[in-house]
Amino acid sequence: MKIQLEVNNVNIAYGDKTVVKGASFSLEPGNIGCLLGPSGCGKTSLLRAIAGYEPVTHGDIKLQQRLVSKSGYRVPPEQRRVGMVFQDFALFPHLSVERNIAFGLKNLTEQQARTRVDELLTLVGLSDLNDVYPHQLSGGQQQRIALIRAMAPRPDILLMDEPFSSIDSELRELLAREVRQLLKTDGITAILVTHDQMEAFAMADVIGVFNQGRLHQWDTGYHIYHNPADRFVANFIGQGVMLPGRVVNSEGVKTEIGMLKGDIPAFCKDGHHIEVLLRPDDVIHDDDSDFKLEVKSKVFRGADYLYTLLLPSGQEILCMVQSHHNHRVGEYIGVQLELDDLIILPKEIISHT
Amino acid sequence: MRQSLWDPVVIAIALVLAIPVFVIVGNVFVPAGEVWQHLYSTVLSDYITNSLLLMIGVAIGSLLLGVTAAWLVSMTEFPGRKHFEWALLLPMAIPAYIIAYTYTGMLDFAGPLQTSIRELTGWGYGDYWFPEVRSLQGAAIMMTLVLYPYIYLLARAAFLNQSLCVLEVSRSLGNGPWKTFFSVALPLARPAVIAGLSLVLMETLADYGTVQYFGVSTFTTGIFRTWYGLDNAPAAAQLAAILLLFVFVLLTLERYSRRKARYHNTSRGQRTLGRFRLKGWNKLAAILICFFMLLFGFLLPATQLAIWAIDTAAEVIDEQFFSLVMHSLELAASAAILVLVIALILGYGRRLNPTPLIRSVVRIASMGYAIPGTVIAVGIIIPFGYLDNLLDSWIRNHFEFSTGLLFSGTIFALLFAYMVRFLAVSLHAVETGLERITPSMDEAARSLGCRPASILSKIHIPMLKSSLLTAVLLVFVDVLKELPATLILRPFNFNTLAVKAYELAADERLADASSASLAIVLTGIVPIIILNRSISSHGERSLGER
Repeated sequence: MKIQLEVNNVNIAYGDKTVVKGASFSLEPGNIGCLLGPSGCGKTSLLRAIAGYEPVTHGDIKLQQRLVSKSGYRVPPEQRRVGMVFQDFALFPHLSVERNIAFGLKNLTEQQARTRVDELLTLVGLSDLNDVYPHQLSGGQQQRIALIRAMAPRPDILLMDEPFSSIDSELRELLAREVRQLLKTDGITAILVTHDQMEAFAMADVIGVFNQGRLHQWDTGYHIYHNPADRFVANFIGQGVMLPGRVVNSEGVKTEIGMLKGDIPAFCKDGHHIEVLLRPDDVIHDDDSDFKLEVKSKVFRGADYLYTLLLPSGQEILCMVQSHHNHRVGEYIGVQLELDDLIILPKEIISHT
Repeated sequence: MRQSLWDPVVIAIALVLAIPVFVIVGNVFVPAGEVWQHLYSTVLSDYITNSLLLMIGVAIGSLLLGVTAAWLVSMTEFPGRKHFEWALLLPMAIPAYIIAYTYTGMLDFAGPLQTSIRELTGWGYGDYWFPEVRSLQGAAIMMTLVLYPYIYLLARAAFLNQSLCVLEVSRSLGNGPWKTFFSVALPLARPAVIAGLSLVLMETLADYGTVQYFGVSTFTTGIFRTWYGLDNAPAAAQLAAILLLFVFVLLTLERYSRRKARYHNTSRGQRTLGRFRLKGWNKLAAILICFFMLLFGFLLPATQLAIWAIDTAAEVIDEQFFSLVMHSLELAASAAILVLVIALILGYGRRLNPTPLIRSVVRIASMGYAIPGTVIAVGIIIPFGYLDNLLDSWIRNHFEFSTGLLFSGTIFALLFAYMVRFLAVSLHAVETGLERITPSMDEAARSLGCRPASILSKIHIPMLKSSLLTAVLLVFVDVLKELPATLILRPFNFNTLAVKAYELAADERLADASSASLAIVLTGIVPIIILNRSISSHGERSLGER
């Protein structure tokens, strides 16, 4: 299989502060990757290193098997064939939409350039905006223009730095879906950086979870949610609680809410004290169940309620319930567990690993 | 230009621009012989006392005028306030030496005021006392009248930027306008006021025309005298070095207070201006204060200049005058454009690679605005003269003809001096413009295949058009007004409007000097309009903003 982008054991440092440590991943042609993590985790630095704005201090980056970055060597951004979409869009305010889009088009006749611009404008449903200036556009329109400006020269890879962060939240999901559709239609390889996991799930084929300069997991959204590699990923993605338990004969975990069966990882020996990740959707509300727990608090979220339930020991678990099941705080409701995979994490590991 | 080339170019330019300062500092250690002894035992203490007294006088006067005016127009409401807001900047258009000789013409024995006093009373010479304009006090008043706008400008901006909540809290706690002013507003504006004051004092130290004309011995006149009268370059340079020391103190003061100013103005005040509405006597007093400042600082001298200019137009305005005007305009325009190019290279170089080295080098290059023209001139003419002699003797030895003066005494030296002196003005405009362009613009252009140099021409320069125009205009006017450096460095028989006005005035041909002066004053109004516009449109949308 051909590889479009390869990041090998990359370090990035400013002065003596290392912001990215030993990041490695690769992306296949036509796939959309996402670097996801809290702010200041190094994801943007890595994106900027791929674009060529930042040097790497260790490891290397290859674009279509061409070495573009290693320690002491950096192909300048203008010679990389990367497209970049900025958080603030960075549309040139003194140029019309058409000239913005045509800015990166080289070696084309005027007619060819115009055809390409029109084609792209049509693609995003903004034809006839050729002569308009950026400040006359709405945020969503600016976003789309920034996107097609970056796509216009047919780059080897499209990089997007928090592309939706300045868009109204209602519009964000719609745009994310649209952009994904667009990239998929054109078969464009892309990487986006975001701190919003919903955006990551909506856009990306592969997600890399970043924290404190380290890439914790590089996997599909499904696996990141259901098989988090470590405690950070488990905590950062989705919601859930860590339920203490004890491994019993390598066949299950004994917890306060009963024996949880499933695959036990190799590091767990009989009698080990470990923790199990319990997602809100693992705990199903069932009025007929004999297993009843007290509602400690609840949050209304539109389609569902997120109940915090109290176990006899004082341990809390979360439970997602359709919103017409409106129970009072203090009431006891019946639940049952539905665990597909057992996510077991070693106990007492300090979470910043 | 490749990115790797910018750094060395920036450093080289900065070093060249720092030559005058290096030369002055270097000459501190060259023995000046008996001349220095002579200076030390005779005039040096005069220079120091006079310069200090002048600074104190101007400081008190301009603080009083500048802060009062700023408070009145920014925090109170009275009839005509809106017009005074910009009109109070007009005195800035008049260089100190021009207002000095204009007032001399109005107030001296043969002037209109004293003549009418004598006609009314029948007194003759010596029968009455009249204050002498041409004195240290007179010089302080003249400079105050045209320099207070620096304080006014910065204090007004500070008052307008102050979080109005703070002032409203003070009022809701029962403090009246006066109490609020002294206990809240003034302390908050202090950094800005001090920054303005240090600019005023730099101008005071740099002045040559006024003190020379009034016969007050200060460092600048001392440098001239030592240079031309005693013909002793090291001694002149050493006087210049002492002057530099004064400037350095001011510069430190300014940088320090500006840093504070940024710190103090973090909270943006909302624009609901709750001005104090002045009534009765207060209202009248406010109007009169502003009016008199405008009257004495601009209206009177400008009217007098206009009257003289009309009277003498027939004799003065001739072909020679027009060629003089053209000379000056050409010189100012070429200097302004040259300075802009240098400012763009430095400003953009700093943007490309803002390392501590590049930043401090750019700062050194822009130090010139604080250095008096006289000092810069001495710092240029010494090395240039040396170079000329070296070149001349070398050529004479090898080719047996004389090259004469190639550097000193040519337009080249003059342009170089302007570059050193006014780079900061241009650089400031360029840098503020560049700062408003987000770095992602550069990065977007690069990812679309642009090299740094073509980003400058394709993105920055078109986006910066108005900033660049401002930079050119400001330097243009400054060059037009500049006197001492031009006096020392100009080629033989080369005149500018400023030099001509000064020379005619020095020959007591005040009326004849007025056309040239009026031309300078009128062009001087241009930057004031620009300044005023940039302040009023404070919340203007910045470039590159969504």
